[in-house]
Amino acid sequence: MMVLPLTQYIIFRYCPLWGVQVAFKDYNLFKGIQGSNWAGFKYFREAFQTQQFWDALRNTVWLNLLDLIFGFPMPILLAIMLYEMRSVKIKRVYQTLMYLPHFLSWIIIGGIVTKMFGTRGMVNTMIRALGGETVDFLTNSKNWVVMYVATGIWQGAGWGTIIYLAAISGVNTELYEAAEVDGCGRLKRIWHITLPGIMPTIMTMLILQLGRMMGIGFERPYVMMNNNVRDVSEVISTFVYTRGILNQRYPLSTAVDLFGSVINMIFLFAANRITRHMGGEGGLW
Amino acid sequence: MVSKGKGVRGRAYLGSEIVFNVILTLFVLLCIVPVIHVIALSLSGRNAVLAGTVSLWPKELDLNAYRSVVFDASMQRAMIFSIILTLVYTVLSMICSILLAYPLSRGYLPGRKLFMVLILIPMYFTGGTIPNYLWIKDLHLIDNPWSLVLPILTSTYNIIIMRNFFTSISPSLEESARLDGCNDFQILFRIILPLSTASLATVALFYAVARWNSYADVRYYINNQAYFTLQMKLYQVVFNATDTSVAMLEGGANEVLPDTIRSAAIVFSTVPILIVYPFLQKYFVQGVMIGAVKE
Repeated sequence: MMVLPLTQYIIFRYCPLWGVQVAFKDYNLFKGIQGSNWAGFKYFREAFQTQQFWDALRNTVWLNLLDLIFGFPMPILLAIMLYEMRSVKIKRVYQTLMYLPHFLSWIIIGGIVTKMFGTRGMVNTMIRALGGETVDFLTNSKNWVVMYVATGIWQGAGWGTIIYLAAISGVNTELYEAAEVDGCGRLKRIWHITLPGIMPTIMTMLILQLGRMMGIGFERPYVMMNNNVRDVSEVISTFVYTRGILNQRYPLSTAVDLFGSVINMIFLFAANRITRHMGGEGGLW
Repeated sequence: MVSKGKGVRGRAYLGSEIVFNVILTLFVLLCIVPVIHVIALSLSGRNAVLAGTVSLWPKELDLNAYRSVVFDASMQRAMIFSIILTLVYTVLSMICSILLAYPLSRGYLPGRKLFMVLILIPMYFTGGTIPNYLWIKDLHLIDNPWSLVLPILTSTYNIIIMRNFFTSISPSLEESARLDGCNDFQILFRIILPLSTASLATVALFYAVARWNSYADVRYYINNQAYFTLQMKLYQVVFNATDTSVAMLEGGANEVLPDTIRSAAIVFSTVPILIVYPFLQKYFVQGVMIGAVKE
């Protein structure tokens, strides 16, 4: 019964791992991966000597860090507020609308963002109508970073509430009633009961996100970037795409990718270990 | 979904109630305003778009942009290819996932732990873009539509959702079927699957939406226009700095602005999602919940 899916795993998940050795080889198209000569750490050294690599590395970490600082708390706050809403009907409608951006592809989102925030876009038209000056949201590096983070929140924060709403509804209701009897205010109740109640979930999500500090999807930066902001928008995934697939510099881009993955694993293990030390049940394993 | 009101909230909370509602309302508006704006833009006439007076409601209603997009041959081909690709992919993925999730949900499967580890490892260790690309190339799958299906046929996350659901089905049903002489496949198809339609729908939708929205693998593996998905086509129309590909779309209707065409193309490719979304939303939410259950 399991033959078919396991074969898929082996052919398309495990076999490519064999190709990671390209990072250590002088890859020759005609000799193939197996026949090419070993090059040791040559391509790692080459990567470390190019400024673009360090830029891509710094941008990846920086954008992920901003996502963590601003993006991570959003669904938690939204979920708590949604839970506290009195009208079940309105809550349903709000949830439906909030989840919507999650189902739009990055191409569509990128298209919408360029339409809205371009110099001729709705936002700038409004700013000018109010007497302001045109803002270069997408072509100024600082503004672009803000747009990148905001777009991420726009796309994911609503959807992210689901997991926290599930966690909140799992909190013991007797605690809420006891707090009510003790005359606890709403904010105090949120602080002393809801938040501690969902802390394990928060920790798990935090580790998962920390474990992705070096990993960055390709589509989101790719659709949002433009030549004016290349200094802040070139990340590991786009670097690997342009160097690797477009320019066919396979060993160099594999080395960069591999370097990122290794750092990523270290982050993941460290984060998991720290939470376990803190006695959290949130550990991944 | 969230459980209903707890009945512990008195009038004393009115202040925070208002603050919370205002913040949530603002966020919800932020979520939908951009989408509505693009729809309005795509339906508006040339002068209104040039003057920048279109906000959330179309001005000088004009359907010419849609005429250019919908009747464009390459757009139609991309749409049809995307639909077929998504259907084929979803069906094959479901078959693969069921065949793996069901055995993994049975406690008596020998070596179950080992198989779990085997499917979990690729969640953390992947070859990376280039080794995957070179492997696809070695398999001669570049510019072959199967490169958009086979490598992502299984999703460990989705398989775990499915397995969690299968696990929750009472084993007594299975035991009695076994006494009646049913084999594993008969049990799966006659008992397990009919009992899990909701979770199967959820996982199928996860697969379908992922395939529909993906762009990166098309970018990596496909150069042949015949196998461009809608997202790829949309990228060309929306992001090409020059307006040539948009101009190509324009055809006879040369009164239409590239910007309006771009908006129409965006809406055109969002419509399939918008149509199914309201009906299927609850399944998605359910999927996240089942997936959150830890081993």
